[in-house]
Amino acid sequence: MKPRMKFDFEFFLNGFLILLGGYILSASVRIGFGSLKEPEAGFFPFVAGSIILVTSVIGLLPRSREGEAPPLFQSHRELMTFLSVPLLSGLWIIALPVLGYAVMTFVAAFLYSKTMGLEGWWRPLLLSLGIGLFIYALFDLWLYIDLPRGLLD
Amino acid sequence: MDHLINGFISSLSFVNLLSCFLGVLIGTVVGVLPGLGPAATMAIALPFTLKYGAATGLIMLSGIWFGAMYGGSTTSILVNLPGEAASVVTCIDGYQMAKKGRAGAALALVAVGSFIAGTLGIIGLQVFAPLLGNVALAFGPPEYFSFMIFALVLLSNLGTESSRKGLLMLGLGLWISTIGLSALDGAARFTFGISKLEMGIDFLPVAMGFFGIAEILRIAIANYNPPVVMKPGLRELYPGKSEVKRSVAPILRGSVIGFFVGLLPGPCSVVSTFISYSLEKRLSKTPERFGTGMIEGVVGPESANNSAVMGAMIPLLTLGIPFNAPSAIMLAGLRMHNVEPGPLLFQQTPAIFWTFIAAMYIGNFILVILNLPLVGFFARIATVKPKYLMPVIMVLCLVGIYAVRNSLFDIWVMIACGVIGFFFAKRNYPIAPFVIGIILGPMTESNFRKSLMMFNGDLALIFGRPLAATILGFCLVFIAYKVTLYFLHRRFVFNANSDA
Repeated sequence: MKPRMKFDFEFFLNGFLILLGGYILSASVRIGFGSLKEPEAGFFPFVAGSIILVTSVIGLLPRSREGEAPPLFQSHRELMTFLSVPLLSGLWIIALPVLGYAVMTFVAAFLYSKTMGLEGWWRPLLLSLGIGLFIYALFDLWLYIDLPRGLLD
Repeated sequence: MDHLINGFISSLSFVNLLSCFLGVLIGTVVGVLPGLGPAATMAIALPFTLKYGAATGLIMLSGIWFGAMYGGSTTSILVNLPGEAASVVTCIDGYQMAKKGRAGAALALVAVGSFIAGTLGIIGLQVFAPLLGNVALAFGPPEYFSFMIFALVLLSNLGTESSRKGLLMLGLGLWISTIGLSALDGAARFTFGISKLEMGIDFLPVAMGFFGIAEILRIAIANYNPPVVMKPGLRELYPGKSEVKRSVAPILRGSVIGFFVGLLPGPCSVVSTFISYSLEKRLSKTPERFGTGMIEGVVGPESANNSAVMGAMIPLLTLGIPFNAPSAIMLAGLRMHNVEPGPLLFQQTPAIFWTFIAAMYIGNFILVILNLPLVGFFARIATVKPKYLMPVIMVLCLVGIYAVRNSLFDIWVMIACGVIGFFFAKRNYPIAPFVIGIILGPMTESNFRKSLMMFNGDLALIFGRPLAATILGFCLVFIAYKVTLYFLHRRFVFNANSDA
């Protein structure tokens, strides 16, 4: 039986960072490295890129690996909860100019509280209503921030 | 003295007083709650300081920082749960005291100790900061460059297991700081044709993402175990005579240790508590009783972490160089108000500094009168479930970051940084070198390039400047020490394995 392939985060991360470091070095030279007497705009990024490249290459060496790390997510539920936060935030950003902050804050707070484990309907509804009012009082009434009003404009 | 009196007059204005009160209150709550640390909270609170002046913002942010130092002790003693890293040591003897029914006495002495340490720290800040500010006026690019190298070397924690990770994060932070138009010659760097990137990546969404969102993600997926809270009554807050007597010296020693550790790069509050605890244990006639509820092991470290906050303000205010994550966020907050800390701060905007100093005295006092009677209330806050709290903080982050520049792009940056920060934190990649790399990057680059031009490309000439040479000498000694330690450790492990 074939052993199941495991996702090695460290390997993936260091591989990506080697590529990034390589890109930074080549881009720095393209921007203009200059000389020690007259360093140009690419000089400092070159130093930063070198640090990234060298440290990520070391990270791929077997000796520097810290043994088997625990999985990033212990269960499917953890992964789903994790994914829901950036996804909901992305939706919030896209819908904000159209629906306005009042509607979106209420909706986002409700969905966040549901995904973070608040059971039933009344508690998440009350909590999101409270958050909506708090945001309105803080940003609109107190700080006079011009937030997008969308439909309510 | 006139400056200080004017500072008190300014800090007693309604807005500054409210900002001070809210800062220490929020800080205490954050210190009590496990999870969100002072850096994350300060980043989240930054947008709310925009409406008022730089001094008001500075007061609120520093209030959060030292409020958190205090709040952490409450749960460490009552719940055996450190609200933040600087209170881990307090759990050792603090919780043991609580189990013996001395929680109230421990809390009262910690409150008094923190007040004394905070006050001594403010006096130190008040005396040393303007003096150092005057000295720093003579600094040129080589001196600044040396200081930055010193900070970056110490932060990357060379020679330890995590040194590679620290250095990597530092490199990433320095690179991110170069994105946008170069300040010296206007060349576009790493903008990928995106016009929004020409102004560079703003520090605030990155800090809120890496500290705030990443922490929310971590808490959201973690299993929640409700803590068991001990509730001391008001009457129990009176310490015994011998407890008071035994606390005096550790409080004073902790205050001094904390202040000087605060001057060094790194997580000063945490480091100072460990140094203070081990010193108290070493000086004790009964070191074997440490860990069973010794008041010296509680008040010493708690005093140290409070005065460390004040010590850490010195490099920030006099040189404009933050040595740890919370002071990096304070620097970002000052820059949002177009105030650049550094030696000129005391000449150009002395009112900000002296209002801040006066507000710290007031804040320190508020902290004591707020915490002693409300200790039960703060302990109960530790039992608030994350599923109620996290949605509130998440929405505050989203709206708060938008409010700073009315930019949806900033929210995308914050969320992306939050996801990246979550993975980095899960694999123990330190965030502080990354964040400090971003904030110190432009200054380091500018001073580095100016130094090279000054010395005609021969950087070795930097050793001809006494101060710069001394600082770089310290760096070299530190690197040599850490590398030797690393190889000795490896040799020891190798020999141990061979013997086995």
